[in-house]
Order: sequence, then C-alpha cells, then structure tokens
Amino acid sequence: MSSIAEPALEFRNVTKRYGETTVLEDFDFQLGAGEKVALIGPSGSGKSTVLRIAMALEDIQGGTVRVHGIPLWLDGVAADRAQTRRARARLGMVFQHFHLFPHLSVLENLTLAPRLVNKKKADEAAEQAIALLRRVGLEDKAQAWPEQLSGGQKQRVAIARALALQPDIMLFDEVTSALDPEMVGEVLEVLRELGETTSMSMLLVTHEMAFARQFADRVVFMDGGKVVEAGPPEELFGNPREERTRQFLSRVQPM
Amino acid sequence: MSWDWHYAWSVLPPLLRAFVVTLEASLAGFVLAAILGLVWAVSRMAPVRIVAGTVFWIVEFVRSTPLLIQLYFLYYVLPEYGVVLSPLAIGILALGLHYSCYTAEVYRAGIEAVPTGQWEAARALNLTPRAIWLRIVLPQALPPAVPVLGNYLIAIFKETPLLAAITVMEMLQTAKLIGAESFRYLEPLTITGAVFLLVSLLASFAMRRLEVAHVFHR
Amino acid sequence: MIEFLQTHLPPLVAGLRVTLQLTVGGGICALVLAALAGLARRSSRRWLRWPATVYVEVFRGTSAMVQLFWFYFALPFFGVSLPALVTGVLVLGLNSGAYGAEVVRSAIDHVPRGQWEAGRALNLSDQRILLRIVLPQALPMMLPPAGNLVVELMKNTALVSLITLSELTFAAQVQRAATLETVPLFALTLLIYFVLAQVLLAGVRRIEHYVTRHRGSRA
Ligand SMILES: Nc1ncnc2c1ncn2[C@@H]1O[C@H](COP(=O)(O)OP(=O)(O)O)[C@@H](O)[C@H]1O
Ligand SMILES: [Mg+2]
Repeated sequence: MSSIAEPALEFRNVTKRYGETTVLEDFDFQLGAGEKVALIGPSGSGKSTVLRIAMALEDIQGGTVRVHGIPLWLDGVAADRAQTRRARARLGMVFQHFHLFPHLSVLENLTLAPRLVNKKKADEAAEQAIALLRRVGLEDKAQAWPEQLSGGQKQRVAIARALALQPDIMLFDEVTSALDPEMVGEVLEVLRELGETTSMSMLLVTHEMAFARQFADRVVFMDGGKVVEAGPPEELFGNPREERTRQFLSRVQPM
Repeated sequence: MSWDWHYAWSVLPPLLRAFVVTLEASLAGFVLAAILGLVWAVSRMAPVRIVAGTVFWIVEFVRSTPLLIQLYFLYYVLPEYGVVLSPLAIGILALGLHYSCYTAEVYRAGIEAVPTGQWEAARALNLTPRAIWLRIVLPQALPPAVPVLGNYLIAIFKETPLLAAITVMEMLQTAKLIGAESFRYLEPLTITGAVFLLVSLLASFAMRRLEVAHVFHR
Repeated sequence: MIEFLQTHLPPLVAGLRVTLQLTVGGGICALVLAALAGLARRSSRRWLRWPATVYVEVFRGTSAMVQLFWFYFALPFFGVSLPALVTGVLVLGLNSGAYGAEVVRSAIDHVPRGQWEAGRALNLSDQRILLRIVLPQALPMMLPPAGNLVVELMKNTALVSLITLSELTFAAQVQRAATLETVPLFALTLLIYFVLAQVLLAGVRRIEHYVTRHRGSRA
C-alpha cells in the first residue's frame, strides 16, 4: 500500500476547534518521507496543535490525517484504537517541557516503552538505551533520576526516549524554548547530528531561526491556523513573498 | 454516685476482648475502602461518559447519606437475596463501601495532581491505557495519597461503634450490655470512650510522623 | 406506588422534622462552639488555650456514637438526666463543634502573618486586627470545609435514633418492622437524606457565593 512517493505525514482539509475557537480550518500540509521541515509562526498560530494531531493527542472536527498512508482520520472519522496505535508506532515526539517520568530512572525512562510496546527483552532494551544515551552524550546518567538533571540534559534524555521506539518520523515541539540560554546549544547539536546521520522525517517547531535555516529542507510559515508560505530556507528567509511572513521575520530576527 | 474503681477493673477484660473485634472491623473495612476507592476513582475517569457519570453519582449518594441506614439496608436486604453474612461481615462491608466514597476523593486528588504532560508523553510512546495507569500515573498518584488514607483508617476506627446497631459485639455494644446487666453504665462507657481517645490520639500522632517522613522521602 | 407513599410518607415526614430540628439545633451549637474553641486555641492565654485543646481532642478522638451513649446513659450517674432530643442536639453540637474549631483555627492560620504585622504597624489592637482584618479573610476559606461538616452533622443525626428519638431513621425502622417493605422503604429514606444533603450543600454554596461577591465589590 505504501509507495516511495507517499508522504510521511499528510493533513487534508483538517479542521480543529476548541469549543468556539477554531484553531485550524481547511488545513493542508504534507511532510515528505525523509524530509526535514521547520514549522515557524507566531505564538498561538496552531503549530503545536499540528504536531499533537499527528500524534493522535487531539481530536479533530473534520478532514483527513495520514501517517505513512495509515489514516488516523478519514473525512472527520477517527481510526479505531488498533490502527491509531499502528500509526503512532511510526512517530516519536519531544515536548517543550520534556515530560520525563519522574518516578523512573533515566534508563527506565528509555526502556519502559520498548519493553511494553515492542516487547523487547530487558537486557536488549537496556543495551539499546545505553547506546542512545551515548549518542546524546549522557551515558553516565543512566542511573540518575530526572530531577537530578539540568534542563538541557532532561531534553536530551527525552529525545533519546522518543528514539528508543525507532520511529520513522520525529516531531519536535519547541524543544529549546524552556531551556536556559546556555543549554540551547547542546540540544540543537543533538538535533543537528540526528538530521545529518539519519533518514528519519522530521517536523520541527522552533523559534531558533538560524538553526531552522541550516537544519531544514523546507520551512513552513503558519499564521492564524493556515500555512501562509512555504519554501526552501534560503528563499523563505532571504526573500519572503508574503507581507505577513516578512513582518514576522522582522520581529523574530531583527537585522 | 461516683466512680467505682473495683467495678471498673472488673469490666476491663470483656471490654478489651471486644476491642479486638473493633480493631478487626476497622482494619478489614479500611482495606476494602482503600481498594474500592481506587476502583471508583479510576472508573470516574473512564472515557465512557455513562460509566464516569454513574460512578460519580453513586459516590456522591453513598457519601451524603448516613452509614447507619446503609448498615440496616445491607443487614435486612442481603438475606432477602440469599446472601447470608455474619453481622460483623456486613458491618465491614458497609464500612468499606461507605468510606470507599471518601478514599475515592483522595485518589482522585492524587491522580489529578499528575501533570497532563505525563499522560501525553505516555500516549506518545504508544503505551496502552492499562500501562499508562499502572506504570506512569498510579506510581506518581499513590504515594502522596498514603498519609491521607491513614486519616481515614482512624475515621473508620471511630465509626465502628455503629456496628452495635446490627448486634456486632464490638466495644460499645459490649459496654452497653455490661451496663444494662449491672445497672451501672458510667464505668464501661467511660472506659470505652477513653480507649477510643487513646488509640485515636496515638494513631494521629503516628500519622503525623508518617507524613513528615513522607515529605522528606527522596 | 401511590399507596406505598400514602402509607409511609407521613411517618417519614414526621421523622424528617425531628431530623431537621437536630440538624439545625446541632448546627447552631456547633457554630458557636467552633468559633469559641477555634479562637481560644489560637489565644496566647493558657487558661483559654488548654480547655479548648482538651475539648477538641476529646470530641474528635472519640466517636459521635460513644459520646451520645455516654451523655445518655452515663451522665445520669452524675445526676444529670437530659431528654433524648436535648442530648442529641448537645452531642451533635459538641462533636461537630470540635471539628469546626479546627476549621476555624486552620483558616486563621492561613491568613498571611504580614496582615497581622501590617495591622500592628497601623497601631490597631489585636482584637481589632482579628475582627476587621483577619477574620474577613479567613471566613471564605472556612466555608467549603464547613459545608462538608454540615453534611456530616446531618448524617450523624441518624445516630440519635439509637437513643430512641423518633427521627427519620427511627421512623423508617418502625415502618419496616410494620410492613417489611425493606427495599423501597430504605431506598426512599436514603433518597430523603440525599436530597437534604444536596439542599444543605447548595445553601452553603450560596453563602460562599455571597461572601466572595460581597468581598469582591468592596475590594
Ligand atoms: N486545550 C486548549 N483549549 C482551548 N484552546 C486551546 C487549547 N490548546 C490550544 N488552544 C488554542 O489554540 C491555538 C493554537 O495553539 P497552539 O497550537 O498551541 O499554538 P502554537 O503552538 O503555535 O503557539 C491558540 O489560540 C490556543 O489558545
Ligand atoms: Mg506551541
């Protein structure tokens, strides 16, 4: 069923409301397989909502959402639980506020889901977890508790935790926004390394424009629940077509 | 008339024997309340509205009506449906049911204190609802609930004299019978009150210690 | 159905009247005792603090039923024989008053110390600070737990049936013995108690609403 040309993520005519407020209306978006997209836009424009819908953390009021061809929503109708779980299995998500499990050690944070969801053996899961921790530069923290880590270290553990399920698509929601400035670099470095060495599709919501520019294949600018403009970073940052894009960029990257 | 030490001394042994029954009822009732309360608290958050709503009103109903008449209800009605239990067992059942509606609130507060981010992170890791409850939410929600549950153990203990109403020979019932036999209620009833006071005070003191220990744990 | 209600409702309503008397009477007693003991427990004078502490610990540490039996069966040995209704009102008041005192005390404790200091800096007497500054802030905090206590008191009125006062539970027992219609009869009785509890809670919520709004408009 899935072909090479098939996008990793597909949003078609998606409508999302919270009570009276409409957050997304007729929203269309695609993330190509292996593509790295930076999603930018003013606060409240609906960026997190897009990621949360892809992860099936939110219901929608209309439209179609597919993950590698697997429908999460078909014309406003939700997939059943088994199919939702199949779609989710392709995705990993990293949150602004980490959401590490405080009652589990760093190692257990990384091994819990592989053991329960992918039925991995304990030693196998631990081995993989150590390898991931090494990759994010934290192998010495395996036995630590989340509360003993700095913000930057917590976020690197959270990235490793999402990777432990070996997803095809990674969703990053402002993963450096809650960090002290001196810790932003270490997390971006992990993202850069991931982007360069893997073929995972990545959707990155960020306010770090300089990073978006070097990291992304394509930049999507959202405002008021709609895609205003999308294109390669050099074009969108260097020569935006839309007035609203220009205004936003002049505010976030004063030059 | 005044306090008769000789008589007081003579009624002490039967009263203390009855105290064992009081303790049994308290502990068994508490275990039932602790288990059932968790069931209520979790099912109140069931995704099925009907289940959640029904449980909410059951809990509300049981909590705002007198335990005494619930006790009578079980005592008279269960046999009509062929369920024959000893008065003590019925008393334990009623205590457990009644107080489960209080412990449910304790658990609910603990569960609601778990940040929504924990649920979302767990769902994003594709954990099943069962695993989310057992591995992520309850391990964080239960520890802070423990000291508060302890207070309900004390509350249940103090409520056991009600079982006298369905002929359970706990302490108060025993005191009353002794008093009726010898036409002297003062000593047995005062001793009963003193024992309750002593145990309650000791238990409250122990609970405060537990709470302090809990705060400083990790 | 109609017949069932015709038989049982009049005696139950008669019982409900006694239940209401107990609730209101006990509630007023409890209110006074809670205010006095709650304030006394925070007093700097030992001769006020001590008796209040003993009162609160004794009546919280023993159960309402033990207290009821003691006042009904043991107190006569000191030459004091009270009718069942008076005993009921007194014990319910004493019992709930002890819990209420803790509510009062903890609400006062939760008013920030800075409020006392600000009052003293304005050269107000301690009584003035308590009445004009601290209590108005503590009162809204007392109301939600007070609502729960009122329901607990109402539930405890059922105990008074055990010293032969014919309130609602007693009336239900009498009707049951006469007709053996246990299930519908007790279900109806429980329902009456439930409605009563909801009415009491709604009443406290109204007071709460009034107090907070009143405070808001003055602020
Ligand atoms: N749980 C919610 N209830 C109501 N409104 C919400 C909720 N979550 C988000 N919103 C609203 O949806 C809009 C988009 O939110 P979000 O996707 O978080 O924006 P962004 O991530 O771009 O800052 C905002 O206006 C926000 O107020
Ligand atoms: Mg956001």
